[in-house]
Amino acid sequence: MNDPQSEYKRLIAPVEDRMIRAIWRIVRDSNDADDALQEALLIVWKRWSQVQKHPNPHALVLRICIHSAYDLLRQKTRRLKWQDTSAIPEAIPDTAGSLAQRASGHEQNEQVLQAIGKLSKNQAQAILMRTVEEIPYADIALAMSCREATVRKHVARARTKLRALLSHLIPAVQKENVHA
Amino acid sequence: MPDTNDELNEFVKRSTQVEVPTVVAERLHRRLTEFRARVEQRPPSRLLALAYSLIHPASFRVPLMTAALLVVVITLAFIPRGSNAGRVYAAAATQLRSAHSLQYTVEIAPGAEVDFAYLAPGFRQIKLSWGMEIRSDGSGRQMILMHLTKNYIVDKEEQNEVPDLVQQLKLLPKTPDQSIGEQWLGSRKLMGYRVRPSKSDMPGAILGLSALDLWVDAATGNPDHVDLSIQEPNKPLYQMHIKNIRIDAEIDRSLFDMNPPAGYTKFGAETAQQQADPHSLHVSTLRPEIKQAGALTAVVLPMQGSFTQTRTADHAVQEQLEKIGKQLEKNGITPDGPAFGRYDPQRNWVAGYPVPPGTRIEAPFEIITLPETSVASVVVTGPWGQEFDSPWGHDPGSRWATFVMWIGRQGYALAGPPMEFWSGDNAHPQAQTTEMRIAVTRAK
Repeated sequence: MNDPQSEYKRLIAPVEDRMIRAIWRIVRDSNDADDALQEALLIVWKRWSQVQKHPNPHALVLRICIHSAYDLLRQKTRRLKWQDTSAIPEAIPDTAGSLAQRASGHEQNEQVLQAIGKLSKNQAQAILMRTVEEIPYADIALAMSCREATVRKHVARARTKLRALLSHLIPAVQKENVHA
Repeated sequence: MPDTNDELNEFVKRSTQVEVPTVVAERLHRRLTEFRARVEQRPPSRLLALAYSLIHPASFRVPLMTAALLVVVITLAFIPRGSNAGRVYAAAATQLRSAHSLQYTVEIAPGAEVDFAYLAPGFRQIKLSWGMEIRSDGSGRQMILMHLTKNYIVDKEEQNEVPDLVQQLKLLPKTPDQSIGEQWLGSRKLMGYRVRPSKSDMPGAILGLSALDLWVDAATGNPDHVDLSIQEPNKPLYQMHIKNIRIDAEIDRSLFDMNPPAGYTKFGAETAQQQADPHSLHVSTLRPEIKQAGALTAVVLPMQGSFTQTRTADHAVQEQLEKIGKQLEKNGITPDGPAFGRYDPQRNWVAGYPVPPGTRIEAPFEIITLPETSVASVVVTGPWGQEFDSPWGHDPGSRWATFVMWIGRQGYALAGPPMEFWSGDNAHPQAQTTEMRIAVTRAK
């Protein structure tokens, strides 16, 4: 085993900022972000040897962070489900305004996060790593310990679900639904 | 679908691309610095790393997970049914068994409720929704307060003969006989457990109690309500519902005060017992009875003031009855029976005439309907509301007190407001009769 100082520099230091961003993008709450990072670091600590030997340790560390943040998001989504089942409307006909205008709204962001919170664990991790963190499929497959084709399947399924949940916010998807 | 995929990707990306606030970034960086120091000072243990590396490869993980699942399934199969749920029951039963104070409401019949309060070692207060109250201090004495007539009676409790629900609840077994499923009360999940009492000869036992269903809040382990099923030979199943259960809540000790409230006059227990004695009744001219009274529809007027004005000579009640009589005549409705007064604690009290079902009437007159029920009834002869010679006393309050005690001694409990039906005419006061009537149910 290499010396711990250089190991940290090799494994964690290069992705510190990405770890923080990945967590923040999902939880958007100071305390939740702290909890998620601590949870992620605990997992990294426990799996240190696995992280060291991993062919793409940075992707694995990011996956662990996304997983911890997603767990918190899911808990929050479950709580919201009890408090307000109308958080994500079945359909909103209003398509006025540009996508940028609508997507910039806080409520839309919340709806996207809630929709992600409704995905399965693998689907959420796969789409967040691919779409948000822009990690190549091959690296995601390594981080998730599965085949690349499986990752693509997770991403495709996640998109299908998100398309259904967020159709009222995305004009192209909405048009497609109308034509169908 | 490249277009929609791109649009969706772009949308998700935009929605999640947010700047990390500086405060948060600093806080999280501090965590990372702490972690770095931890890693550098004390690298993760090799033993832990070995354990994790063992379960990491997929080839190991699948059989391990399968084995773990099998263990869970086998364990569940061998654990006695309901044992997990039994913990919820145990939590509720323990609370009830060790309760220092207990309060609940018993629905003994539709519209008839009794509020009960118990405080260890033996204080009890039973408040009947139609204006009666029974207090006892555990020393063998009990006081019956009749708020209707402002009378009180001090009597002796017969501990072993009185069915005691508190005793039943405090003797709940550690495990239920049966789990009876679950029900949702709003967002609260209730779990039901059935207990079948085995000892019917113990003090306070409820005769004929065939099942006690305890419903417990699954989240808190607090008892929510209890349903009692009572099945006596050759009688229809009788059910009671116990709700608003509060355990070890602060109870005002004045509820158990054995001193009568100011303004209440004593109806001597000794005299009452003597008068209520079955042998005394046998020789008296009065013939109280328990009978079945049919459903009653009536036109009434809500009355103001105390029910005792039925005893006064100012004819207030008679005037109201005359108003009703005239309105009925005007509408071409013939009364179905004699005029009556009904004490109703919710609406003060009403006076009126029975009328055929389906009768309609305009305000201020009201229609009330009462269901068919068992009633205790006794007819006394003499001027309405005036003192008259009666083996039960001259005072109407005393008559009611004696009547209530007679009802208790027949094994019945009150299950509704008291009523009086006035028959006869003003020309012959000595021939006037008053039927005292009150809904009853078998005492449990």
